[in-house]
Amino acid sequence: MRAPDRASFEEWARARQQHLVRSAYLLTGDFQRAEDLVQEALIRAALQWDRLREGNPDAWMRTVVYREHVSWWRRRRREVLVDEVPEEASYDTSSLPAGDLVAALATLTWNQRAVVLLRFAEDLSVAETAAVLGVSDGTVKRQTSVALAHLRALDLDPVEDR
Amino acid sequence: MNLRELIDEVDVPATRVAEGTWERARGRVRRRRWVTAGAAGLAVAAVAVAASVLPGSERADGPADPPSTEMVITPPDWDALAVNRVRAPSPDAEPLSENPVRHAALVVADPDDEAGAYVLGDDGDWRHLDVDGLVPVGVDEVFTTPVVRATGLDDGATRLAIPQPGGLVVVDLTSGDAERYDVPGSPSYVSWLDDSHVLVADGRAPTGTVVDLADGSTARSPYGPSTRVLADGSALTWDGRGPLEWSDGRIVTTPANNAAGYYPQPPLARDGVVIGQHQRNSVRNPTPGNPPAALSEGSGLVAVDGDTGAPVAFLPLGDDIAATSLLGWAGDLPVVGLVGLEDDVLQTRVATWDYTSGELYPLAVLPSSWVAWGVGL
Repeated sequence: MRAPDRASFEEWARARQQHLVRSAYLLTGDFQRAEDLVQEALIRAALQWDRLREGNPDAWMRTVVYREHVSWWRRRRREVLVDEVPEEASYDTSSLPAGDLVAALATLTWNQRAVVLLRFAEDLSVAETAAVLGVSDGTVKRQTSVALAHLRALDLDPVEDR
Repeated sequence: MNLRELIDEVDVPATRVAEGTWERARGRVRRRRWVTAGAAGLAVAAVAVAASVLPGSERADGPADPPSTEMVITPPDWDALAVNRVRAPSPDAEPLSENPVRHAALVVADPDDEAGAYVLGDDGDWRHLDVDGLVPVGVDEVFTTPVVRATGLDDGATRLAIPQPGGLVVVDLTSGDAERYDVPGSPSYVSWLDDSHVLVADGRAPTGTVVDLADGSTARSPYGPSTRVLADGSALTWDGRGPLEWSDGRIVTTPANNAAGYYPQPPLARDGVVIGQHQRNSVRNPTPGNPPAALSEGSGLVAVDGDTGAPVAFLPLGDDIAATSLLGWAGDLPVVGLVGLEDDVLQTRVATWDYTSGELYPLAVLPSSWVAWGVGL
């Protein structure tokens, strides 16, 4: 890890950290977990910054954050089932301004939320979304359809004006 | 406001998460260098495996215990595994019922239909699995997955077990005939216990149901998705909680776990060594004692001593590999699947892993992330 790399990494990381945490917060509904996810991804990015800086570090970070969250959630679901604690983490909206779309996201399941955010907030294709989440294209299409229908039933459209 | 705008509008507290990141990364590099001291950039590293990995021991305050054993670390090389690409099956492949196989070399999920699959015969030709009524497998209330499971083929690779809502479907690959068995619940996991018994389970539940293929009767089983029944009839359960639970009552504590993977898979076990899919920082397995640094910092395949729980080898995922799969054995070596992206398409690069030396021997590149390995290529 060379000193010249450090300056460019820290410049990039400081510029992107708030956006990354916001994005992770919308995914997780938990600010602390969002920071944990982003911090771990940043550490991994720093370890290979000499390679990443020439590519698309934002996209790389997004993939790491989502995959880590998906792995954590799937693992957690197995474990909470065993222990019979509530399955769905509550999406903490108390610290947020009353944004209708944020509140609506909270009503989606975690996997619907992930699909919707990747497709319409991160602008990924169906194939790219499937790759990040480790599911098939068909699952992404189906989940997108279900989630959009759910949101539109609340008179909200995450893709309006686009 | 649309979602793209929302990311920049949502009001979260100011974060300083980037501060100190570079130093933390440098700290990991230093620890890795310590871990791999003397190994000259490759595989064998002396790693401290604390006494606390042994049953009954307790974590002690103070300096770390001295290294007491060696752990082989296999640096993943995604590109080096890109050999022997298996051509993708054509949608026009012959139906299995019209051209059955002697043995399945392997099975992959249909990339366009989660309810479908393709069987590669040992003659090198693909067949389309033409079984009426198959539906995608539900893994929770919403997500579905393809019908292919790594544990779906029997020992002879002549039958394929498929979990289905309320049932189990067993396809005789040598004839194309399929038999359906009613099973309580909606299993998402299957595993062959012996020639005539299949374990089915909800992939998130700790136990499952055994189906007797002779008469279709079912019985509750103490075993579940994380249990491997071995050739001698004994069983080993290893999941995200950490300990190896042997059917003879032994509970072997280990700093590794078997929590990773797209869906639960039982460990592989042979010759006193157990292979699992380790998940870094598994929430239910706070690593006891002073674990090998590699296990604290990374997820990947791990081999542990079945009697002591001590890690003997680790294959970290690296940046190119999204997931792993335990596919079986080729001689004395475990066959493992490493799942990653190429041209935006998920594929599985199959290799045997010599955990004693750290070598990966590539076998094939498969055009799917959902595969079952039979007699191989």
